[in-house]
Amino acid sequence: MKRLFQVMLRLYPKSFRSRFSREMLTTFEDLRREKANCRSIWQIVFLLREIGGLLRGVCAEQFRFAVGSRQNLPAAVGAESGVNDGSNRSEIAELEERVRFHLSQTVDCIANHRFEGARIHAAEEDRARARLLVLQASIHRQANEG
Amino acid sequence: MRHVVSRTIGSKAKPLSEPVFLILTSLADQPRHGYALLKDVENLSGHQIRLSTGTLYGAIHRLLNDGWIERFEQEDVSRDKQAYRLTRAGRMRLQLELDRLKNITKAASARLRASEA
Repeated sequence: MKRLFQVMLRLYPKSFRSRFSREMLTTFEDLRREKANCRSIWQIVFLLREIGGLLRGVCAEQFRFAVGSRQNLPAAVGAESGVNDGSNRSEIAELEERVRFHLSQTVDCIANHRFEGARIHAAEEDRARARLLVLQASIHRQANEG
Repeated sequence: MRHVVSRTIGSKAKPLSEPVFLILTSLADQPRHGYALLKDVENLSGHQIRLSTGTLYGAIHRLLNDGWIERFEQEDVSRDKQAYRLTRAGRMRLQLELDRLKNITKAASARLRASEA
């Protein structure tokens, strides 16, 4: 069971795998241990549910990755750097999405005099921008070294 | 505070899916790691909803990207058991959803009473 789960984890995009695969495997192992004393029919039901969940997850994450890479990656970053690292591309796309979301919420809050909310969204936007800068600097550094 | 919370994220926010609502609710009182989250979601839903590992981590991925939850370092657990906790933005979003559900419940109760009267 564990081997099958590990193989299926490889179907996720690399960025997702690097962030979650170890945790997912640990969680799966905890669940499997819990089911160890159940009748075999329940173990089969458990395995089928896990495989079904993984397949749905793989489809969703691959779709998000494909759409995110195509729509959100600044062309300049990839072209200048020559770096084609899926993990960084995906995270950059996600961070840009977060920046846009929090920026629009900040503007909306200020327009409606909801200053506490504006402060929180501005702080979240700052965090996303800071991480984005670090990632972009890292890509440019790699490109210069290459 | 409630007034501010319910208006901050905006009335256009989409309703949360049941798994996401349950995950946010589970993290509302304390940080939890994957397995603890799955068991708590199961208990919260009266054993009606059993999330698979793939579904849970797909939701965690989205919630992290939205800034509604964040990683939480616990010293007393192994490094493969990453805990998560609700951020302020996540708490606000959960409160907004609770307000939305309360309004629906109130309206439904009122209509039931009216039809019975």
